[in-house]
Amino acid sequence: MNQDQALIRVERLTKHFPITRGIVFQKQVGAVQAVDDISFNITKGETLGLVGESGCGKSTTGRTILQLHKPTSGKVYYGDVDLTTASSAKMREMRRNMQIIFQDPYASLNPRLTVGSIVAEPLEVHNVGTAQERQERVRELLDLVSLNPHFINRYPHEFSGGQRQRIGIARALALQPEFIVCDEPISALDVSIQAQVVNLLEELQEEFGLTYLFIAHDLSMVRHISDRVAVMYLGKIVELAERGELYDHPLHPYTRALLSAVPIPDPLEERKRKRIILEGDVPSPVHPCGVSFPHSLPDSRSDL
Amino acid sequence: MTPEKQLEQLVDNNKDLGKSRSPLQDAMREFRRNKIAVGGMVFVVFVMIVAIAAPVFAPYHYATQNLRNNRAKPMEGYDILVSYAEKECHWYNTPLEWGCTVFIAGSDALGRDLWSRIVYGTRVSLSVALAAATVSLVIGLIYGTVSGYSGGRVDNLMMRIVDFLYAIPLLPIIILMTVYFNAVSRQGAESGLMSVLINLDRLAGGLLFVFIAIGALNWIGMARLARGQVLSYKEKEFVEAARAIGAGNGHIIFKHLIPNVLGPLLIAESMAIPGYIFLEAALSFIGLGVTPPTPSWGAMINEGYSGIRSNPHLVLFPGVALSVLTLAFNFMGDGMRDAFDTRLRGRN
Ligand SMILES: Nc1ncnc2c1ncn2[C@@H]1O[C@H](COP(=O)(O)OP(=O)(O)OP(=O)(O)O)[C@@H](O)[C@H]1O
Ligand SMILES: [Mg+2]
Repeated sequence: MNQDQALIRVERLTKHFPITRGIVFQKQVGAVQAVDDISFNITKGETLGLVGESGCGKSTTGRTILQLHKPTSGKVYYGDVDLTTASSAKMREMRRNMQIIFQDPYASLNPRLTVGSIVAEPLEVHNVGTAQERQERVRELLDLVSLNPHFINRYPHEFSGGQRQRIGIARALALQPEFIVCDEPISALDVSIQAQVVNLLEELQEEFGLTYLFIAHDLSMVRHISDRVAVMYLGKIVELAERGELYDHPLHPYTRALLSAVPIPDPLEERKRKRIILEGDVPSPVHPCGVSFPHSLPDSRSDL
Repeated sequence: MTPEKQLEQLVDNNKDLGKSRSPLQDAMREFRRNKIAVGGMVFVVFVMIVAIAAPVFAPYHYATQNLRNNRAKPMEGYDILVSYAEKECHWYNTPLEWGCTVFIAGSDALGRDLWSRIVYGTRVSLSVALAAATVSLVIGLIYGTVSGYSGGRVDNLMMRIVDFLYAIPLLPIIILMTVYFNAVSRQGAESGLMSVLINLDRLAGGLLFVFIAIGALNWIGMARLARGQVLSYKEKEFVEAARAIGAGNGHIIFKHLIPNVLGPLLIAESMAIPGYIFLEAALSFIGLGVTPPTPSWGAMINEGYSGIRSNPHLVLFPGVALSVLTLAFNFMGDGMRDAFDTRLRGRN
């Protein structure tokens, strides 16, 4: 891949959460290795899918890239700018270019604010335009995500999950970012609405040339939207490949196990599908024993 | 139907799309459905009006004495000179003039009209409720928000201080302070902090230490509540979203945290107000509250209880007033809690 085109470069990024003991005198007794030495690039205009099971560090990766968590070590470059060492004023400026859409559409909107003020918030924080112009822009944004601009004075609790997710998307788009981390934007939604939201994200990508880091634990949806897919396991990226390549020739046993869990939309094929069942628990992220894939696994090659 | 007509109708149907109810409006609607709570609130509002317009509701000033008519029974006639009534009575030359010559609720040992003293007493109770609630809310909110938002070591330290204060029996200390202060203020002080305090106390009708005592006793609970709320809200994704936008701490605290934290705190305050009123009455009853002749219901009960057999009305009326007001605040607070707590909504 061409280095010059990379919008985001992640180099040996590591995030550990300390585990502390004691009430008055706290001492660190260990660390959750949520993200452990990962590197990848995201090219401008592409969608990188990030999959892995719950708790493997996907959200932490997304948030650490956006500097919502301070990385323990490693670098994140946005174009030429090193975000990990950027001053807070510089960072504030950079935040115009990168946004995040959250998994839980109920927790991601302040219940005390109207839709209008939620979507206008980024504009206010960055002092964009007059109150009048902001109002105009909010209507535009609501229209863009197919919400009725009349809803501007309503409160989040008056909306369905899918509608709330659209509000979150409108807020993320307000400052016309280039890069958006989509942290499982559809996992909390009803299946019937998932496709709508994914299609909306795809349309927006086409219209504005957005770059996505699309986090999910559902491989079929990631396959639909991503250009490349990274598979994460216990804080590490165990496989990163072009979409077709990954789905047709998965190399890592964990990827194969994940793929085998995807249902096939053909009943005859589905009946023949064999799942690879991983034995035992996922090892604790506190002591991952230095192994990237310690599960015991049936001999998968003959199984598949 | 022509397409234009259809369109018009569509627009018509969507007219109320822009209308909306905020969580506050929802809660108010819920509150209105609760008859007992509304009753409590109506009574509280009525008492507020009485307190503000006390001279209208009371025939005499609370300190006006008429020694010839001490310990009069309720509705007992009044043996006074017309010139006296003319000079002292608020109701003279009004349709209520009869109240100038009759003790509606009797009179106390100094011949002061008990009804008038009860009416003026609402000022004491309500100002204590208001001041103590404001003091504990403001201190608790600031302390708790700072502690919860800072997190980590700062939070830890601030909460240990709170634990420490909680473990100290504050009431005896405040009683000691009050006794000392009263002794000093009787002598008077020319300058320094003491004279400032004495002047403040005079302004507050001798209630300064009651305010301080009740505020100091109650901000701790409010701070803990505020901190807990902030801790839970600051992990919410909408706060993270604000941070992703580039919002600073001030913006997050004032726009996202405080509006969410304030609701539960206000409800907690409204539930605590009966306690404040009671504590003031209790302090005044043991002689540590207001300075005479300021009419506090607690002080009035204290003055009356030695003669409770012969003149039960001296205890009964202030006691009833105290109970009814406390009860009204209780009903109102309960109703507010139920109305704002969405989890309780839809029951009964
Ligand atoms: N703020 C935090 N403090 C301490 N530990 C954390 C924190 N956030 C995440 N972790 C830990 O880091 C690990 C990775 O969490 P993360 O939220 O990134 O998982 P995830 O892959 O997004 O899972 P999911 O699919 O359920 O969203 C988990 O073990 C979690 O307990
Ligand atoms: Mg997650």
